[in-house]
Amino acid sequence: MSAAATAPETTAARDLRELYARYKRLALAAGAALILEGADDGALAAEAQSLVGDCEAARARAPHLRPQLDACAEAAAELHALLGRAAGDEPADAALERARTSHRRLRREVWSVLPCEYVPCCAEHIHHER
Amino acid sequence: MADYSIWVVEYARVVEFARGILMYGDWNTGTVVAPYCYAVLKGEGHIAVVDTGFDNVEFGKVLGESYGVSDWQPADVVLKRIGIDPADVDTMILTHNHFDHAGGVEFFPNAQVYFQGREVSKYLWAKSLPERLDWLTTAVDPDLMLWLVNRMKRGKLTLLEGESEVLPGVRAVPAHDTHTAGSQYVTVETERNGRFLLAGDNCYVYENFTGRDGDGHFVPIGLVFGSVERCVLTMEEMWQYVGEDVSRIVPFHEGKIWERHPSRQFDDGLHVAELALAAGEASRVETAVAAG
Repeated sequence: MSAAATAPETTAARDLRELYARYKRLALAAGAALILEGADDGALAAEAQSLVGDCEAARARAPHLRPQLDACAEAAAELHALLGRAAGDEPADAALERARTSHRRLRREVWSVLPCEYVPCCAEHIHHER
Repeated sequence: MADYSIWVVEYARVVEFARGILMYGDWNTGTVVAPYCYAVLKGEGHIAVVDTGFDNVEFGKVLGESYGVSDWQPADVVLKRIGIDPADVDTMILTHNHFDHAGGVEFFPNAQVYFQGREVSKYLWAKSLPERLDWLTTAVDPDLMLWLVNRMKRGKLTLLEGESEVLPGVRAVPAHDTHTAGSQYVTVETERNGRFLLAGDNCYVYENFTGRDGDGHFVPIGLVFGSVERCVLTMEEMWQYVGEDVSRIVPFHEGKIWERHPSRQFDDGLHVAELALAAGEASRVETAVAAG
């Protein structure tokens, strides 16, 4: 373990980490639902919409994390747009590309202030030194 | 019976890879050099890859640096060593959704993708769990799922349910709830060279089969998102398939693979191993097509 060098997490950082985790689980499920066609009954779209609102609320509490929380709100909104299309319609190429682009932007923004969450791995100390 | 050439291409390596990841229970026993590899099959009118490596930008670059990956090369460079253009790859079998196996899918724009449906549907299941269980999805990134949606739209994604023959003599065999929820391994039965098994991460090294000190008692991998019991029982299935000949199993992180099979090391330190040659195919390791 290499926790000794880890600074205590602020409330705002914890909020961002939890929102990002929510987004990530939602994005995985959204992709799966789209691949499995018809696997979402509207709950994922509703969750995406809810996440947009929660990101905006968090931004008001933590303006110093605005780039990250804006990116999270944007990525969640793009998921909502993907999931909210009419039943039976294929997702448009442009909407898919926007979702991927916003996802990559969010990941980049989050990793600029929080350690990469992709664990467990064999180099935990490197995460904490970043 | 089918006839394939089979190569294992190394596209990167980790110089200090913890043994405790490779062998369950070998905690704090130091590190080894672990290659990052995927396999290429050529025959029966097809060119197939089993896994893809990763792209060393953004997500892949961050994770690669976190893991201590070095000497990375893109698919066009490593495949040129065996005379293959990534654009000519028509079949891609992904063993599981981890960055070092499925992070290079965009290198192969014309491939039909074969993936276990369970590796997809489990993300819906995971979403239904309490957020405190999100460890279950920490080792995956959503981008592959969104990319697969695009492949599905183009009719280039086949979700597998159970064991399937992907190409003549090439079967994708589910290994569910092992390393990941929807892992699979790939068997290849060739007329001239017998059976081979491309393991993905259902084992990391030969020692998982040969045991500590060569005692013959299986030791599972040390990083399991499913069940360790399923890992061990899957290893037994794999062992039986190859007639208990460990050299016919291909772990994608085994540094000894270069000693077990004809191989060549290139100027950047990366290797190619040649497991089988189809009739009429020239060796790529005796005389490299493109040294590099």
